[in-house]
Amino acid sequence: MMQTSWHGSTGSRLAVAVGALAALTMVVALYMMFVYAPPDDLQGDVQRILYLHVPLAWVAFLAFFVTFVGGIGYLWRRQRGWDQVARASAEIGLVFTTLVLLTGSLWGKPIWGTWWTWDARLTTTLLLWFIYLGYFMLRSYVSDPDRAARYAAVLGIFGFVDVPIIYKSVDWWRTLHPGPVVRTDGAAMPGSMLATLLVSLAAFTLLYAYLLYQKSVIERTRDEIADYQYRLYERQAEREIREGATTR
Amino acid sequence: MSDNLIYLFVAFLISWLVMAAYLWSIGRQVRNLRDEVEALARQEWNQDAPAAAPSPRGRAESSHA
Repeated sequence: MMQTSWHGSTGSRLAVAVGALAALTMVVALYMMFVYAPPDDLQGDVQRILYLHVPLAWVAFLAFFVTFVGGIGYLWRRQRGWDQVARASAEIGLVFTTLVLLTGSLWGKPIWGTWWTWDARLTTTLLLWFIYLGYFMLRSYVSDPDRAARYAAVLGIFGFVDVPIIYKSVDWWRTLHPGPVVRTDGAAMPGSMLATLLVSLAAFTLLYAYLLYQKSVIERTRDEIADYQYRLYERQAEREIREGATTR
Repeated sequence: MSDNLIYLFVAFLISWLVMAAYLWSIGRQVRNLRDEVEALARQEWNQDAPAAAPSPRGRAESSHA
């Protein structure tokens, strides 16, 4: 009988606990975003987009870091588990990077007066989005799963180089984009705003952990089903050959 | 609603819609995989068992009855 990692895994108690905690923290974060945190003196209420935009960017970077580590792990150990986690994380990263670009644009229009500008931070983030879109295009074009995993691992490793460039872009180039809100010399915002941002960061990190777990199990189960189907067809072919030999 | 509030509203709406759609798609993938596993289990049973034997699902149902 076929045994897959899907059996009982997705519903595991840890995943359910992390999912529930993510939902609870998200409710608290939403309350803090709209009720607890005061409006910004200069930007007004539109500044509240930051409580969404910054955690989305953090999760996207974290997701691509996991893809980077998964890629190294796969190239080093050649175990499919690394690749399954890497591709699960890359998908989440791509979804979150899309939201980073959308929320950034929706903040930029009222504050900068434009939806988009070829600013260093924005351009390098768009480049990141294209790199990970390419990651999935590459996977779909290569039919051999091992080769696809190898090529994707290389792209995931080199693609991650863009993440520190995005982070440092506001220091290296003259940009419109605001600098980091949390620095080593202290936060560039009042305590209530910082607390809201930190709770939101925690909520989105928990959401990422939940999504990564679910998506990794899905990817693992897909591989197991493909392997099993292959073995099933092999057995069927062997049986047909045996039956053909006995009837002759 | 002031002009700026509409941007805030749209940013949150789009973000939550996309995240809800993504969570829904993950749920759908889990359901599809569950169906696929069941179909494979039936296929395996049909290959191994004599032609007249009931499928694993049929066997499970009859044992519950």
